[in-house]
Amino acid sequence: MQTQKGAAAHAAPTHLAVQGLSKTFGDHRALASIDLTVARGELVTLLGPSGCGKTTLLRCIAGFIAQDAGHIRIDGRSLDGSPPHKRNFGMVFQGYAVFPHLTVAENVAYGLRARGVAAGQRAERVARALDRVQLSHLAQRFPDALSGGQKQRVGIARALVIEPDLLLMDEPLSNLDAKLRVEMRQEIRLMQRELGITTLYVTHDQDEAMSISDRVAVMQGGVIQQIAPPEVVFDDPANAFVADFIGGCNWIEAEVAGDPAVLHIAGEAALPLPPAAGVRGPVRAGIRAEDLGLAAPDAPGLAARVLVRSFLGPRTRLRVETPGGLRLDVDLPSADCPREGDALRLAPLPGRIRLYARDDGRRLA
Amino acid sequence: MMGLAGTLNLRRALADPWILLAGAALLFLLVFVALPLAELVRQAFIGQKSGAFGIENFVSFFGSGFFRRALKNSLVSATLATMIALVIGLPLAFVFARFDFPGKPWIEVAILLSMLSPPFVGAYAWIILFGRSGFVTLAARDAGIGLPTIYGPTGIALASAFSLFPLVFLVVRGAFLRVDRGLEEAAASLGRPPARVVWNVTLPLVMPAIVTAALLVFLGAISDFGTPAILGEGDRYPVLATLAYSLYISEIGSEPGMAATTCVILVLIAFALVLGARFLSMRRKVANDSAPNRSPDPLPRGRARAMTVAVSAFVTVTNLPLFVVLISSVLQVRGVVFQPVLTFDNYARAWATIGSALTNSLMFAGLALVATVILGTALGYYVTRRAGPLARAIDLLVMIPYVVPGTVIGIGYAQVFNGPPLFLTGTAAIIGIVYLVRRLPYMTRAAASAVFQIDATLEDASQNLGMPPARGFAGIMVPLMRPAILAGAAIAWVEILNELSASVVLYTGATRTLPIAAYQQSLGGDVGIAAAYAAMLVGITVAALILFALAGGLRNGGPPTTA
Ligand SMILES: Nc1ncnc2c1ncn2[C@@H]1O[C@H](COP(=O)(O)OP(=O)(O)OP(=O)(O)O)[C@@H](O)[C@H]1O
Ligand SMILES: [Mg+2]
Repeated sequence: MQTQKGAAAHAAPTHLAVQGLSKTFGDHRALASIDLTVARGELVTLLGPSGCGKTTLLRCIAGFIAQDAGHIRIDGRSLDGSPPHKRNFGMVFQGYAVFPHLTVAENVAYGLRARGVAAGQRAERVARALDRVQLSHLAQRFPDALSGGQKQRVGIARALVIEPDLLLMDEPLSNLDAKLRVEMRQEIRLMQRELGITTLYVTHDQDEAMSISDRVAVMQGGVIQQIAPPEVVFDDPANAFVADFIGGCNWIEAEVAGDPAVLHIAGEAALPLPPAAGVRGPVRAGIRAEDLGLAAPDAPGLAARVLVRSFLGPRTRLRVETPGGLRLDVDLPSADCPREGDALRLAPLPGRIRLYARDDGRRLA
Repeated sequence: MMGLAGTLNLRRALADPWILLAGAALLFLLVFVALPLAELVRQAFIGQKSGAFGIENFVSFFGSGFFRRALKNSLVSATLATMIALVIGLPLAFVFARFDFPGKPWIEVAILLSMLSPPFVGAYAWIILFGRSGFVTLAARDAGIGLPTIYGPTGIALASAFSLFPLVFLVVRGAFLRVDRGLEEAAASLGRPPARVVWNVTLPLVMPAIVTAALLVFLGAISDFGTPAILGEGDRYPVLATLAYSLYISEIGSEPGMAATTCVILVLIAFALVLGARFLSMRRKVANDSAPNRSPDPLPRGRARAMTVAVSAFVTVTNLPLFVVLISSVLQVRGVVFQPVLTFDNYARAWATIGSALTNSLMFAGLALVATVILGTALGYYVTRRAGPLARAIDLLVMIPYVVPGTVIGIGYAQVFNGPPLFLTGTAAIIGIVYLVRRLPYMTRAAASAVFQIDATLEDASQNLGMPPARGFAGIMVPLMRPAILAGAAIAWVEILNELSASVVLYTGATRTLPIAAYQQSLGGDVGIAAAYAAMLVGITVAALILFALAGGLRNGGPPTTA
């Protein structure tokens, strides 16, 4: 049942379809006409800053919140008006939501009981689910005698044992410590692929989103800003928000002019742009720290001086300042890295300057 | 598009059984809480003599020396009661918060017992001891000493304080436990002697709790009917509650308009107290919630024992009324004087005259208890989990009887339900409903605070896993709320069983209950029978408490107040 990474996204048919979904709380627009499709077996993460509407979207899909407008379909079947307990979606909660008065096994059996699964079959499926999350030895424990990681495994087993049409996870790992988080996200990814279960995963941790997703939906202000595979979101951001939120960016207010096009930065040297850039006029230029390098001696570049140096292992991050007062972050290999106070000249790697509109941040080039 | 969304929401609303329940509860509360009070207010503004709309009744109230005296008596006896309750309750609260000694849980149960036994039983005990023919009075007279009278403010205040001081104990002990001990240690490290640290540092920190407790005691004392009725001997020493009662009930020249006016004045005082308490506790929040709750200091063995003896002795004194009633119930009576001869005569006579009082009490209280527990649990859940105007309206209405004295509710009911469309006067239903309505605030609060502590996503998880909401509620919420529900039920049972102040207005011969029978006998009836009835009430109360203490979780209940 192993699916190739990315293959599911493109080959498999649409499983979940969200169309024009809107939700307003009072006068706060939490979701603004969301369109989203998830293919069968695909894992899509909703990634965005706090308050951007991730949980609201997930809870609309789970049926806990009634949308103001729009539709949710699963396999083409509309879910409008269907209550949460009839949707057959599995949900994993940030706070675990493990029933404290039931043992681990009873927790996992809960959804099967609700479905009237016969006792014999129930025990068998619970055993298998516990085995999958490596909790068989704790089946008779009560939750208050479990660690956070173990509780979340119970939550996952409980959601998976009902063989849901869709798995919804709302920041399932954010209550765990950093090391366990990395371990568990790999386990979740592995399990998800093995079972081929369509999954919508909410997080505000971009590493987590990047490492487990088939596609990432970057959200902001109740709008999906971009939905694409992780590498595309990173390398080819749709707008300034995505570029800034994913990976971070140096932002420079500049002007594009001339033929071939050149980027003029007030008080600094001009930087050449790729020939294809058809944009002219005022722009916001975005350059990632890792896309800046030391300029060759005779090539154009920005003169600067190192303010702060932070060692990050193989790379070192420098905060530099140009004579014109522009401050930039630069990642350089740690070997032979300039020291604080050193002067250097920086140039963007070819084709790595992205241009965005100053007003709405849309991508220009 | 909007239309579609609208119908979607409507369908959801109808599919939610809670909406229906909440709607029904709102209707019930409007009829049985808001309507009687509104009617009293209306009548207060209709002149007793002229029949014209206006403030005539209030003018007569404040123009009459008799009425003014009732108001003054209420204030004086409640103030005295509050002071005595503080004197008893504060040291106990401090000792329980700060020291560990053997037998602490049992002593605590004994403290709660003084609160839960019916206050008028306490009042009657004081009469047995210090009344005109009381043990102590007669003994003192034989020794040539004249004692001050127990009838009047001193007696009322003492009896009230003895049944209300546990409120001070509960509220202030909580505050002592939350005080950041670091502050005290800082003061001690500056060289202050321990007693001065408590006086200068700790006491100001728990002051808001003390004020809150004092207001609660004052509210309890000023609302009580049984105690002043017995110890004030009716109109000899009238207070507002007994005045309203006799104005309303009086067979010759009943004055419902003036009764309503008295009720309104009493309610205004009560609301002012509660608002004041809320204002004070909001304004100053000095007990530090983030400071670790340090467990009490262990005492050296000898001193711990001494502490146990001292505290037990103290609590025994506060429970003295109970012992007095229990003992005198098995003493022979000659005339109005108890003789030192053991006999079950009183019980024989009590049993012969009890009629349906005992069965009435058990039946009404039993039914009301079931309704209180179910409705209180449901409403506690509803007001905690659902936002919106309906939940807010219910929360407000359900809490009103917490403030309004029972006698006032009783008079309101008698006024509103004595004719169509709802003719309930003289029925068992009206007694059951008044029990329910008076107890609902406590049950609802107890349930609400339990719900508040239960993670809301548990229910989401249950539903998400395919459990229909009603089954999920039964399978998840009910078991998790059980300790709070049980504790609330235990206290509700005791309080309902002992309810006097509203039912005394509403009963008829056929719906007489045990507290009413005991009250009647203690007002110049057969003192032996009165003691026997009172002892039966105490017995049922103690039995219920022991039962629930054994079932575990008495500590989880909210603080109850007077019957
Ligand atoms: N029940 C509600 N009533 C009013 N406003 C709400 C409600 N639920 C969410 N909101 C608002 O809607 C917006 C989106 O909330 P949501 O919980 O979906 O954010 P989120 O992306 O999950 O954030 P986080 O990362 O902090 O969990 C927020 O501004 C929030 O305050
Ligand atoms: Mg969220």
